[in-house]
Amino acid sequence: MGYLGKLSKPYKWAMYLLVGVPIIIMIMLAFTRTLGVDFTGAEFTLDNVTRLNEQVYRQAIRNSLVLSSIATIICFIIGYPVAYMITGLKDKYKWLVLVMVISPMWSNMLLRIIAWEQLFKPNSLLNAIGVSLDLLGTRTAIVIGMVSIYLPFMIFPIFTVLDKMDKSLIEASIDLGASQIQVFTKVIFPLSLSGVASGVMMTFLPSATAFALPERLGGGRILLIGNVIENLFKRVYNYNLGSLLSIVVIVIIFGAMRIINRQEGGLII
Amino acid sequence: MMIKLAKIMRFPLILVTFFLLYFPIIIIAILSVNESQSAHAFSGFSLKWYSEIITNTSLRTAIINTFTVAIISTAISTIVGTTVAIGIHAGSKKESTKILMLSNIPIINPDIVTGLSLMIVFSFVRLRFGFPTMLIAHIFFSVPFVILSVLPKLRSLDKDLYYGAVDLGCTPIQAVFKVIIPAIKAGIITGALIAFTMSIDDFVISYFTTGSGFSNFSIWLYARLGRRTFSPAAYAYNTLIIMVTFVTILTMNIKSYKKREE
Amino acid sequence: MKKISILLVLVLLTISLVACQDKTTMYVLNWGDYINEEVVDAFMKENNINVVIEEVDSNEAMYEKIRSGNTKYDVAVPSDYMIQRLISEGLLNKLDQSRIHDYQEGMFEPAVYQLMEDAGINEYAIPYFYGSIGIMYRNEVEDYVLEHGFGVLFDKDLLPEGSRVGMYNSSRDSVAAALLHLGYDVNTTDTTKLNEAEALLADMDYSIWGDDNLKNEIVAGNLDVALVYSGDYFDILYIVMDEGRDVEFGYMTPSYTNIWVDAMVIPTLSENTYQAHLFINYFLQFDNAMENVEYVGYTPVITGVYEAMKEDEDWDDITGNIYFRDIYYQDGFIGQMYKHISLEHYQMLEDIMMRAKMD
Repeated sequence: MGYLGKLSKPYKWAMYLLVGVPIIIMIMLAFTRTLGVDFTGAEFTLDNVTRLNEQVYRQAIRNSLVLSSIATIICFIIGYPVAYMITGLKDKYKWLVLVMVISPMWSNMLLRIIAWEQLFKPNSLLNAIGVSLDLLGTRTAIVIGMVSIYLPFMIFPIFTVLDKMDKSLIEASIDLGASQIQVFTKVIFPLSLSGVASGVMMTFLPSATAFALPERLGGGRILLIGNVIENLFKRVYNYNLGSLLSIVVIVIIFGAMRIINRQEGGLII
Repeated sequence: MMIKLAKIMRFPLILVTFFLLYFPIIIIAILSVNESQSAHAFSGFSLKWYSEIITNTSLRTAIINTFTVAIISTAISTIVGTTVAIGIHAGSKKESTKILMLSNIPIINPDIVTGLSLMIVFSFVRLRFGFPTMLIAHIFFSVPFVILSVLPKLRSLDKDLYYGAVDLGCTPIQAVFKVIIPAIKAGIITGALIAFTMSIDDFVISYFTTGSGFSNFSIWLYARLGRRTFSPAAYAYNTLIIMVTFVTILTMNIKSYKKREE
Repeated sequence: MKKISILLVLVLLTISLVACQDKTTMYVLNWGDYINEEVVDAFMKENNINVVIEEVDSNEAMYEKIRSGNTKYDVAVPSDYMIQRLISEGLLNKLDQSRIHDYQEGMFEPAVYQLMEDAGINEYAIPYFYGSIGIMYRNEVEDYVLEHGFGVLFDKDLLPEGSRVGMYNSSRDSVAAALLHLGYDVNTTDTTKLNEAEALLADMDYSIWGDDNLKNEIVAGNLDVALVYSGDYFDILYIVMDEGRDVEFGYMTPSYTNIWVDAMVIPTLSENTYQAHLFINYFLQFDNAMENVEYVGYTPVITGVYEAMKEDEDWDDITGNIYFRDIYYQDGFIGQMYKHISLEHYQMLEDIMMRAKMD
């Protein structure tokens, strides 16, 4: 099929262009001081790297890692049992519940964030049922928002793996005298790890790098790395520090991928 | 003990899940029939925002733009993605790993990094931002998903199928269209559906790659948050979309379930 | 194969439909809720021009959009200091007075004229609206605000326990408010003074760092006081009165504050300067300016428009309020204008705000 093999060549070059070139430009931007992408008269500098150590950026990175880790853990605690439960349902209900879990993703994400934002204010629709929350601008609000948005991304991959699992393995281990707990901890859970890994990646990555969600639910006063980067590019017009921070994000993400991949010993997506 | 606990917790956890997933959607639905523009209190039932989806020109344009971009980018990325997948499948192992690695990058990369990267390339080559740049961006992040859904179907395909067709006198192109494509149809449709959904809902990548006032629904929304130009018709539009998807998916499932029972 | 070719044709058709428009399209960069779209519609009809408006929420975002050149804007509406910066970087065209027929010497309010002259931007800009920064508050805390002015934004003890304060999410404005409260110059580069301002901002625990939403949150009762542009207050006041709701909020401009003017400019990248001039001129015509003020609610820059409002009884609640206009002409009022500052200095302000947000 050598003839057909050529079909993917143009795509390869397009990807080099759209993936490789920006990374090269970003690295160049990270070590210079320029106005936008205009490199005339730019000189090499380590100023941006020094600034990286400033408290603001360290805190933003910490906020991102901490809040999205908490959200991911909560998603896992809720998502795993739910996925497990769905696999146990009769076919008829299984698909219904699954559809119910996935459907909210067709609702605009930004609008769902705004709905939470409205509810987190002291004066909101909830007053009608005698509730007044004051959560806007808190870390709790951001975590609730993240869990609400990314929970399906945790449930779905875990469900897929659990559902495909060979049931005879479970039967065999019960025949061999394993208790229910042992069946779960020794057989089911280890076999579902690949689903857990992709679930964790699919909730952690987008929540750690979100910017609209923390901006709205954080009341503009809790900065995550996404907010800082957006601010640097769109307001301060400092493409240099912005690029450096983006590179930091890429490094962290691909680092995290490697760690999880190595534990898992396979490709995730 | 643990099993018991898990059994007891099962119901509350399902409840929490559905609460987290559906509470915002219900709130959006309530706001869509709220008489007042203010989201702070329910002042009376009204369906006026539903008609405003059509009468509000800027919102209508944004919705049309959203679908225009989604349809075109889905069509192009489905064709490109399928072609590339066939190429990867036919090519050498080394080459295909390389391309797959490249094509996974937009999937793994956070939206904000993808958006910024594209913005930087586009402004580096001095493109005029607007519909074309946003379209390229959407194709860029959709193609990998098409490849990923088509490739497994190709791999489970019997290679002899293709050679058989060639032996019987088909040109390679004919063999692809007559034999391979029909066999991987399910994968192509899944890929197209994912591409379409991603494009409709995208905010971050569009935010960085659009310009010249070209907005999709998400950008329209973001620019009007807390402003007078915001219209609750946005809630109405979203509620309609959710209802339509719900009905479609349910009828599709009931149909396929009935088929299976037969 | 057939299906695919039909699909391809459809795709090409849509692309060409989107791409082909026989009308000229001009791009306007504006603030949110800052133009009456009916006036724009009328302009489009009269001149057979298509106008696309993009909105931003800060001068800095406006600068980024003009500077990056990703969109070739024909008209933008930045404020005084940002216009200075754009001029200094060669990003603005001088206006062609001969193409702005409705401009007359002395048609603008004296305060505006003074501002434009001080900023040295007359040749590049035609004023649009002007105003100051001040404090919008819930009536329950009126006494505290009238007594302490900007102080309520920077000292928790000056407001009742549990009061909720909002701050403007713009480094220039938030730092300036702190400097004004301290009695310093808004353009100071003195690091000790800036550090004092930063300490004030950092010590406060603002409920929301927002922009246009601040005024709405005050009306909804989710904030008690916030830093708000004078025009934003009148804008929302007009709406609330129009809907017949109770007005439970007020506004005050301290007599030592910032005064600003937003003005229409034409970026050098503009490809439709003829249409841009037409557009600018359109908003100088009395009827259009009047209709625009009615929607936007900010203080008009054209004296004739202000006088017409004053004569109309319907506007009494607005024009009778000294913070709408009269305060700018009172003895003892000192309105400081923001001036263009160096990039380093600007980055300093941005850092101050970011650090103040972090806890």
